Amino acid sequence: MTARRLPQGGRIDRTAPLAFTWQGGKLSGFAGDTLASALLANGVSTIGRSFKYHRPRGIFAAWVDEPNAILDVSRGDWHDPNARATTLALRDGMAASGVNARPDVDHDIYRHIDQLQQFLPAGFYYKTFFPNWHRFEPRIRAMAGLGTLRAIADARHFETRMRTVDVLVAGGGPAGLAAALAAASAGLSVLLADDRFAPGGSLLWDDASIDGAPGDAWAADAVARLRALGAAVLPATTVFGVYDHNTFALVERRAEAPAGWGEDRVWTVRAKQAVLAAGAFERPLVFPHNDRPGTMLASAALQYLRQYGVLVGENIIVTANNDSAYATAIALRRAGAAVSVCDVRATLPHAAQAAQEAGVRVLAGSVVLDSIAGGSGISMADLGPADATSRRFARQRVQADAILVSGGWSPAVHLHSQAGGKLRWDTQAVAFLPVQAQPHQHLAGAMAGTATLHETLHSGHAAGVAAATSLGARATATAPHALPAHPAAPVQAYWKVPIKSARQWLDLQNDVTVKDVALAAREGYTSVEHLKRYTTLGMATDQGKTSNVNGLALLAEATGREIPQVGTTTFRPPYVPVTLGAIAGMRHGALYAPWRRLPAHDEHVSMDADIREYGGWFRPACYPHAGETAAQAIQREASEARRACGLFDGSSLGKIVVHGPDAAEFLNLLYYNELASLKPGRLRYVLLLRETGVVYDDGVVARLAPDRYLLSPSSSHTAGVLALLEAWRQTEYPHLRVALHDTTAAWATFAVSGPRSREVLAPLTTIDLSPEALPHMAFAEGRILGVAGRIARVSFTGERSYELSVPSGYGASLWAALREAGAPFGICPYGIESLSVLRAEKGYILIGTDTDGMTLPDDLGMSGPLRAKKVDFTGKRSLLTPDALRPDRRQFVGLLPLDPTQVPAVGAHAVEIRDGKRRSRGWVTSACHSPALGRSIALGMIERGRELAAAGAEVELFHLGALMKAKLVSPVFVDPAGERLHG
Amino acid sequence: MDNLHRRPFTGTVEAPGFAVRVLDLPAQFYVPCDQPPGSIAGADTYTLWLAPDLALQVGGAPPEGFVSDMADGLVVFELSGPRAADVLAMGSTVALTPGQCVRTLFGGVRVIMYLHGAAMRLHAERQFAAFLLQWFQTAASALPQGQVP
Repeated sequence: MTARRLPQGGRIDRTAPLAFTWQGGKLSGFAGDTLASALLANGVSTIGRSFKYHRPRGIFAAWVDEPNAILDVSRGDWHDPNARATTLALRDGMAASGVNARPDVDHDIYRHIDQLQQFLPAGFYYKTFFPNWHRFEPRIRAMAGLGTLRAIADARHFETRMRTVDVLVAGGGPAGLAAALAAASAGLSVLLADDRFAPGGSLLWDDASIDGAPGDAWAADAVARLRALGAAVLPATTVFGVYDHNTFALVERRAEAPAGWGEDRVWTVRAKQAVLAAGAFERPLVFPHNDRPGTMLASAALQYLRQYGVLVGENIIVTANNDSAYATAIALRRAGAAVSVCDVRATLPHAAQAAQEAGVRVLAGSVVLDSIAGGSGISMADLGPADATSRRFARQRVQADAILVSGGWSPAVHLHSQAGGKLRWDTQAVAFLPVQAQPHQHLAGAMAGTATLHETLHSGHAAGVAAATSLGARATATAPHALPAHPAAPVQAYWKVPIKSARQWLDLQNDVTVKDVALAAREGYTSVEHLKRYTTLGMATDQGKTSNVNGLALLAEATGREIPQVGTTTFRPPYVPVTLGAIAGMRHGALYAPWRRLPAHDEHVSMDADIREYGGWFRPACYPHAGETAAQAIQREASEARRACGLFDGSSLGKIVVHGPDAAEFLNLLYYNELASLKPGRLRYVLLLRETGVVYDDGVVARLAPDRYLLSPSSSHTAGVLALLEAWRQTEYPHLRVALHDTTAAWATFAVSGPRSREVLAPLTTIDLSPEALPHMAFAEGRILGVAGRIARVSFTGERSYELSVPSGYGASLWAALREAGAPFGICPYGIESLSVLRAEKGYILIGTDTDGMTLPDDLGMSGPLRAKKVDFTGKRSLLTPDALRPDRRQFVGLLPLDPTQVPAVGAHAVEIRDGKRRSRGWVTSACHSPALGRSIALGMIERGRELAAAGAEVELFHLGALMKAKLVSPVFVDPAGERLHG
Repeated sequence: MDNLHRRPFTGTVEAPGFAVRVLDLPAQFYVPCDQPPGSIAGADTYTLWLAPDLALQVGGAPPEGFVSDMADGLVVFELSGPRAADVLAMGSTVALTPGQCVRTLFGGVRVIMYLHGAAMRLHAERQFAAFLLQWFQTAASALPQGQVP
């Protein structure tokens, strides 16, 4: 290809030159260029190496369908290792280079792989490297692939936008503009998204006249009218996904963004009605060696000419099976190129006459039989009859530096298909067309199968009117008008040159050939989905926009079926590649997730707490002293809590208030434990089960009054418990008079635990803390340092403990006051990791740690309520199934390693040898060094655990190839009589 | 020992055409609800529909019945300025209309949103307040620095 910039023409700004580099060499282009058009204008022919065979490749298309021009491009801090050059606006200072080539695309050391092509058929990797893929994978992966990411985090934020509109129009070509004008004229909110730098679509390069104005001028005027009507017009914005409830995902590629922000911006748009007007893609016409640089879609050549003033060659061959290529041929001829058209149709169409009159040579029933390499691209082409079946067929060798292909048009049905729309094969259009629009969607233009501009405009207008009518509005705009064109001659289905010996490419990005499809069919991959996975046809980043239809047509041919019998693969988002940064939006760094903070968060930070994330909460793991490791701090804090007094921030614990005269009955129907009999002022430890009987959550329930309970679910389960309770209340028990209020955020809660806890607290509250007035599992309300609050006598440490709650605005103040009041008694703040040691010493379970999705109450040794509770409750039936009553279920037990200095790994399996094979009998769920016992301890779920523990059995714990012996014991290691708890 | 003192969540964001104030509203109550979904009832003291049988009363004295005091549990962000709508569009698909409130996710956080005079109000649980304030600060930096519309 000897492409060059013409002295005039195109939509580029020739007064604004831009400097850029290609593989280190300095080049220049103009504002308005894409990187691809600028490379072509500078005569760059080879821009990459093919994925598998490392063959040289050139620019093939002009927009999102480009399979070859995937380049590594950077500019300042910005870097895209896989930029599609055809959609990337040229910027001053850009540095571009090829990918998948070493050292560069012109001197690729892997180019000799192509000589081994006969040994590299479809399925080569499966056949050659499995089952030992892992041995070869590192080397193969190092050779394969596209660009390479720089190992630097992208510090930029990416903005996201969300909007609800009456009508979304996807596509700003003639159909989309007509649809948007109609909908906006009805007074509706309209958003038109067009992926090009300016709306207009084919009007920007096709010869067109609408309402007496040139097509491009009409498009610009249409945009102005839309904005005047209040519609939002987003250029450079691609609708890339359709989701439930008519929700659409768009990516906007802005020219500029504020400092620290990325240019790409993802929109989430909820549309009451949507018009899909995505246009159509030209398909290649396949012939031998059709992958050489210099081969290009005919419509792309027209775009480079009209948009960028670039003539793609001097001696151009156009090979086509439809009329559309003639307009391209005429335009190129008028631009100064020598042009020949090989039309596979035996009878020349009406369009050929105008081409001939313009000086284009036209050959009927003819096709390009081969391209001849020369220089960095094509030097010659062999032309011959379209039905040639061998290389020996009569052929005419002619000079050619560019071969343009046009194999028909494939409507861009991706969004329709993503929405669940069905497709049908239309033999006249030789294309898949939508069967009918999905609900709340309308189809317009070429994607709906229109063939002429006249039809396209009317189709778009009708879609806009229909969208408005669906919303009860009336469009006042009249349909734009274009003169009806001369009817096009039928497209002739022609999928490849019938020469078997030559390589003909279908998927240029993934290097899939006609032979690969034939081989897949011979090997039984006759489903189009299997073909796709076996050959990788259509699986590259262009999603097979230029290859899918040709591929499945050839599969049909190879298997003796019709195309509708073969069908299509499923279209999935994204329609174009979208950067992960744009999808993440602001959700990275400190804003990665909506972390929750405790009311006394700043106090914990000021104490240099080791703050970690637990179930969405930032919580202190421990409070290391200077020079102390976290592990040392945890041991110290746990010891101090047992020796003197500990202080723990438990504000994240759930606080769901259940109000109403039927609150007792409601909770009794849901919880495993009896709650109707609970007396006001008392607490009860409870389990909440799923219908399967599996333990979902545990916690403590306080009865505040006859008609009011306070539930304390575990911190990370509060929302889930509330949702579960609400689901039951609203669906199964709507007759019960109950209200549920999640008041977790309103209260700060601190646990003061240990032998001296009562001494610390007594001066601070009006509540009588004596064992008689406030025994274990009792509750009282009163004043705490002048503020109305409440104290629950409940413990997760095994020590005498008091949980103090005040309104959360006072949380920070109470934390400081407790530290001050406790100082004389040696109060020691302890974090959640230290608490985990304390609770493990007592054998208290941690939901999700000691339990899993199969744990039943009896597995935890809590079978009492099942026997004693008189009323039905959620999950009860499941607890009576044979599986629930199996004697060999895994049960919660303690484990004492025989070597007291060794702490077993959490997850280590208790193993036995049965029938010569090692099998698991259960596993360790928690393990730590116990400061109270001065040795290692563990908790676990072991088959028949209680029976084995009673017998003093030992088990072998297996982890990462190492074995450790442990004795099964009761899970309560400290104070089994509960004297410290009740003291 | 001194009595406890209350420390409300505070913070502001200022950007061209956009401002956030954190309000300390002393009267917010979860109350029973008998108004249509998504509606706001009342004026100086008003109730916001939250869910079936649940509303948030803002202002006034707590009514009789099943009531929970949420004054310390909910932080109120008031967004104002001509670019507040841009910031809203960064965090939620919701298009607010006068007289209606929405309980939805904003920036990933469950909030209650509605128009209040010329401003927008968001009620969020206190544990998310620091996150949301940082979110607003970050979002404000994405606003164009040019002339305010």
